[in-house]
Amino acid sequence: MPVVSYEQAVENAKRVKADVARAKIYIARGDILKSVEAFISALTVKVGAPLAGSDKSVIEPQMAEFCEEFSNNYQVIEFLKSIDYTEKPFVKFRPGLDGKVLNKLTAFRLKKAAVEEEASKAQERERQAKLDELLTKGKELLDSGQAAKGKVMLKRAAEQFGSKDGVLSEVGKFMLDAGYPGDASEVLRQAMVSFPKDPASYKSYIEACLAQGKNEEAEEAYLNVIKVFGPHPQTYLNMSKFYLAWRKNELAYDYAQRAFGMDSSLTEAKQIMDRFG
Amino acid sequence: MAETTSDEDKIVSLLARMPMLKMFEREQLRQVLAYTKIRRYDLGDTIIEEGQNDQTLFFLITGNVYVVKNGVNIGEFSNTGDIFGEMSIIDGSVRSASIVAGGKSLCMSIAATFFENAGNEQQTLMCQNILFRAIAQILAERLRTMNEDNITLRKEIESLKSGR
Repeated sequence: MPVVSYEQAVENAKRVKADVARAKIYIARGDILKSVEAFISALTVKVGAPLAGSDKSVIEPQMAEFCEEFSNNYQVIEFLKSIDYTEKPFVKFRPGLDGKVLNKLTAFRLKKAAVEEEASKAQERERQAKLDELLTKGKELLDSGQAAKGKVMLKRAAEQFGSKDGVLSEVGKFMLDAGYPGDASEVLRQAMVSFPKDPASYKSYIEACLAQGKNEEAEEAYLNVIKVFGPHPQTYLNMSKFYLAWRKNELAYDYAQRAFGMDSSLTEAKQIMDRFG
Repeated sequence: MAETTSDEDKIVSLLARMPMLKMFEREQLRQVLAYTKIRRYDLGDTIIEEGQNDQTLFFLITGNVYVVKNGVNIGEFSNTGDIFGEMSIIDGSVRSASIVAGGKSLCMSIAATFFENAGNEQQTLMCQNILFRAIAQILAERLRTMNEDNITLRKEIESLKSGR
């Protein structure tokens, strides 16, 4: 048995009491994992340096009470049933056998965490399968000319899974490729707000704006690209070409100059500059 | 925890799946059963307790077990044929961690005394054969893991050296 100083023993007792109290609070709140973690923490301290005197006589009954409460907890019983564990009570506090109680509760915690993780993975797989189905069917319907049905499916994918990285951008791209820039820009605008660091949605959004002749919106998006991703010669060249097509020659020249200034291998930028130079 | 020798055929079939027992005929595996114990555990049962100095070697047949120390999981065995509890047999040390069942699990155990004298000479040889194979398997696995770790570390060192 390890020897500890009086101060350390007092400190340990305090910690064990606090952990047991936390375990009781968590179980009352229905948070089984946190409850068992707190109790394991208490037991670990107790196993490392057994309590003595009045602390022992106060704390051990509290621990026994917790074990009883834990074993009779509805959620614990349901979980144990789900893994085909039927022995009752699940855990009983026996003074002197703290190590066994610690092991039992540790195994419970590990098993419950593993089962929860597996359930969460299964749920995620199910969600992914549902998303894949909506995207695939939606795209197929759009491509086969059944626009209304296809849009409904893709919009459902956007609504249900829009918080997932890349989904809105993908839905918007499908709509754009199928020739529905209006619907596409709506979804892509949402994508740019939700995932401002995803360059794909800006690219598709600009294409959608241009397809609808909405030059002001496209210009705003280009300026946002620079704001978000910083200056890039290719972006400047694209802007230059965009302004050229829009017949804003001064701006076309200005951006061609910026592009060429950053990358002198961009011959297209040079050609635009020469045209107005 | 209950010890049982029922469902012998089923257990023999499970034993036959263990890499180190593949060389044995079914009849020999039945003999193995005679001087080993088949133990059933359920969630939270302590199979090996930290600090104890019992000398028993365990083979996992089905289920999974956690290796725990101070309430922390430091490993897990979940494959048929996984061996645990060998250290105390090799060096006579006390158990350095606890092994706890992670659910319904079936294990085969052999007490160290059987490796010295399992009854007659043939049985003792068979026990020793199992022990040596078990140790060889453990050493091979650890060597493989260390080699893999070594390769990973070398790659990391190279990468650090080249500044990538």
